[in-house]
Amino acid sequence: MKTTCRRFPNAGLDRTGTLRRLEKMAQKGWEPTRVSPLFDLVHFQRTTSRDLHFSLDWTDPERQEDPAYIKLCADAGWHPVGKLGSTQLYIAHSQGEPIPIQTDPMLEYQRFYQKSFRGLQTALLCYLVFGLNLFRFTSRFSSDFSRGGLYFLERLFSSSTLEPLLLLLLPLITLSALVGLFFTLFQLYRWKKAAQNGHPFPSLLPWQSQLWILSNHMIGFMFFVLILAWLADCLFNGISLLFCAAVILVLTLIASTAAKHLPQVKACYPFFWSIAAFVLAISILHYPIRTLLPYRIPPDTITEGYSKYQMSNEKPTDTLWGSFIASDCPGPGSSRVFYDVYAWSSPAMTQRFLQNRTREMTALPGYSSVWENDLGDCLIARGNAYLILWRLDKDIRTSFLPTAITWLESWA
Amino acid sequence: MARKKLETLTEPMYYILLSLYEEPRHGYGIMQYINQMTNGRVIVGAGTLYALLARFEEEQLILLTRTSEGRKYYTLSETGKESLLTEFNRLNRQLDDGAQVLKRRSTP
Repeated sequence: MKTTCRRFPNAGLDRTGTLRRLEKMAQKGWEPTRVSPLFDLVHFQRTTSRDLHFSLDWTDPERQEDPAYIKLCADAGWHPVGKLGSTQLYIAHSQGEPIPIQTDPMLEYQRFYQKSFRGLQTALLCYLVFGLNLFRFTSRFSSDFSRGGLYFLERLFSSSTLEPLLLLLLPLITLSALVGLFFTLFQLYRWKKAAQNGHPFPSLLPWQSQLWILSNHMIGFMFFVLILAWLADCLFNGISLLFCAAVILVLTLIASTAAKHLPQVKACYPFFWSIAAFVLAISILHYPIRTLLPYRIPPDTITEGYSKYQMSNEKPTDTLWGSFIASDCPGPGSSRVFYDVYAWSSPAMTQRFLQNRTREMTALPGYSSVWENDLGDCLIARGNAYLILWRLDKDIRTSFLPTAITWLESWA
Repeated sequence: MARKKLETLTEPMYYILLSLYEEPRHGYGIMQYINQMTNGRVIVGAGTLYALLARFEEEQLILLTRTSEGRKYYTLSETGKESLLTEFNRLNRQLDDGAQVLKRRSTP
């Protein structure tokens, strides 16, 4: 039997668009058979029946529907296919137009509040907290953005790390999340007004619906890339983008394959556990794995075993391992200078650094060579170990290198 | 504060109570009854019917008599009968008032 699947995001807020898409699929000879709630995927199989009708009814995503309700709907010709977000998808096989499940807009609105609003409240709250957190985080990089798109693009394409990618994705996701939040609240307000006047849920125009789906896919994709990039950056810091891309690709393939074969939420648990086990295994094994990688330069003795440290005029401690961006230390001419310290650097990374309009500085005692690029980042070599200090606050014009070196020396 | 009891019935509410006047029925039986009685003029969807039945049960206008094969059978309670008769009388009065005015207007 030939099968296919499609993603149906936002079935709740864009019910008309969702039903329109389902009807189009039915016209092409595809009948929905089940739903994978994890990614809102509807699975279809080939059918010859042309008398298919669909309905979306509000439901509690976390709880089972009352069997008496399901039975009543089934008697009326509506059979449940699966839960799509906070709605239940029903299908009817009848030649004529079946009686809709909900015929009273106000009662339908009340059902939404009884069944689905609690889940939506939690989602809205999560969106808000997430958005605020991201804004707080991205505000640290305001100077990078304020220097204009060209500068940012240069950073994006010249950097060996994933930092610019994260800088690009974070504000986009934040903005999208907040736009989604306000749109949801606006739709609910419109619906309340409509229901009070006895009108059904306000529908979106086809182009609005398409835009909504497209933006949802994009947010989902960005979020997925962000999470994986973040994970990869934490675990494999300093390794090329190509390697991170490979990790992301493999995880994407695993996720998409799993989603196609997981019919219910409970069945997703092994998948979640597998991911958790994978992350745990990598967390434990990443250091020996990284050591085994070709071209790896042994770390400097001062920073043996750690990839990043927080510079705050204190000696680094184990507990700081894995902190994403290094903290600050007093710099000349400024109250705060941000550094991102790498205990070691791959040859590829070093090469890219050196290609980026770098000039050699006066050698410092104990260091074989010191370079600084136009962006104010420094690369210091001692023996066969390289330290890279990314200066993230670009508004500081004075070289921070002497302070940084003094600070680095104070560890020893 | 206790929720205000149903004072006036909407058209679907009226027909649901009416359908339970003669004998106990299950949800789909009620839907069919209303459809036949009104010749498809009044349509009550499964979701709407379920919500109204739950509300009637809460207000003790109807009583659950039995459950068979997943279907719940309801019958009208004494309070339900009273509500139905009150609504019937109210509608009759409306009809009388309307007839009185309209007949007066139509006679030369």
